[in-house]
Amino acid sequence: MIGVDILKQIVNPWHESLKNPAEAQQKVLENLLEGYAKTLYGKNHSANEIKDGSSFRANFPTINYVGLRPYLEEVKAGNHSVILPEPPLCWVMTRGSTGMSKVLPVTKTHIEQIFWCGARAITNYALRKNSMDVLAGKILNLNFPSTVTTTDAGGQKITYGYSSGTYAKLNPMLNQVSLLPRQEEIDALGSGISRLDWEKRFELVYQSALNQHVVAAIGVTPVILSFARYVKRRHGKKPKDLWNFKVLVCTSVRKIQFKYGPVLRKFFGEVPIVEMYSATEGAFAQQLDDLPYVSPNYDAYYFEVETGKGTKMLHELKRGEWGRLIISSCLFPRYDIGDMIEAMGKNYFRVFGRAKPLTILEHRLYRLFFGWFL
Amino acid sequence: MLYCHKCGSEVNEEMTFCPKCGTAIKVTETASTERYISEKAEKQEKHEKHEKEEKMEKGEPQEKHEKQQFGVLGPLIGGFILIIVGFMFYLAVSGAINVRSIFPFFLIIIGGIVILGVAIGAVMARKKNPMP
Repeated sequence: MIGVDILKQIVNPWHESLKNPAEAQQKVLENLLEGYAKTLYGKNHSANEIKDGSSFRANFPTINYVGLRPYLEEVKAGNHSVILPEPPLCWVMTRGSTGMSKVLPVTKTHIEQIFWCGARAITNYALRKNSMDVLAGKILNLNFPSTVTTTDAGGQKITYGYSSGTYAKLNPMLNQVSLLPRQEEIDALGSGISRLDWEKRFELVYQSALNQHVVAAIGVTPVILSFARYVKRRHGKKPKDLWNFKVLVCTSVRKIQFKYGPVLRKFFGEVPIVEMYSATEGAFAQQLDDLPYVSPNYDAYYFEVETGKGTKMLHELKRGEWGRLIISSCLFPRYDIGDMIEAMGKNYFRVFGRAKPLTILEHRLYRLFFGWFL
Repeated sequence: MLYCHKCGSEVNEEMTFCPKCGTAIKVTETASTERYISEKAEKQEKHEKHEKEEKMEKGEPQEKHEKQQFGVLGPLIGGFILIIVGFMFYLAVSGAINVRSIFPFFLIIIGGIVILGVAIGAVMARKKNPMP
């Protein structure tokens, strides 16, 4: 059983950063700038001369994946210091569910942050509800395969796969102790993501978890739901009839609590749903309490938002303000991740979709009609 | 009892994959696992269809599909507007009201529906966006 003190070490820095986000963000910026100063990209943008957020904003333009690609090609050729402060540990790919699939290098620090921040959602829930049994049981592994394709990087052949599977495999605590089945078993079924491929994976998960003490499922929300539907269709039982779930940790889509929540509960029982805002690029925020919002990891990432009234720090946004999220991490400075975020007040936020014209129009109409009442 | 051809673990006939090593369990010498899965899925679907038909015959209530709870408001409002338009048209044709008075009357009703819709939406929005 993991000690409460260790669990508190996971969440306390986050809780502290929420009390004084400005201070936490300044510290993060200083740390990040030390890293950026080691890179050619950082040197070109005078990273070592920057002292505060406004000069950081003035010197570094925002950059998206397309803008990063020439630098990533250099990294692939073996010259990591062109943009990365550390050599890449491995490469991962995104699912491409919102456009093209992105392939990104990940470093040791990034992986550590993923483990550390990624554990916060479930750990915080366990501590908050004094329900340590959610950490003592098994977790359904509904991740994507971590081995999909190979590429040349620095003269070597490297194999990479989807980030969720890769992160799960690299996390010894999760993969060796808690996940059912282990990520290597998922990988052994192949790399496809067609319906048939997923059915193979779901069947493996089902069989591995049958008669086991399963307490949680963590992952991409539609995948969790698809698994539940598969089990019902193929085996005639809902997951709630087979396992006693204590919590579902859901990520990667909007409207988790209100659109997916009721449907998930039909299959998994009256189980709490904890929301996480995570992506290949990082584990950025998670649900703090029972409110249906997420609170950012101010102690690990540097958050800015491009609003209609200029760029602001995320923590400066007042309830109802919204815009396009810009995240600086140990990988990339001022990365335009392409997500839209809205402040709900007191460091609670809601990621309401991708930065697409239709999503923005929908949100504008929503604010126009209902913003008055919120 | 069957055994996994790769790791030797015990498996039963119901299993498609070895629970220990994840290897696909060979069910026949010729049929591929994929074919086996799709055949099994077909059988299952037939079985479910048969069960559904039986339930309907017995008059048992069907399990409501989870998708039904999404997006019912739009068709409801659309249907309501159509009913009002139809009713107004009927009144006009039957001579109960003056044809020229239809348009403003129609606007008043639509305005009322919009206000009602916004009020309902606002209540729902408040519920979904609680104040921290």
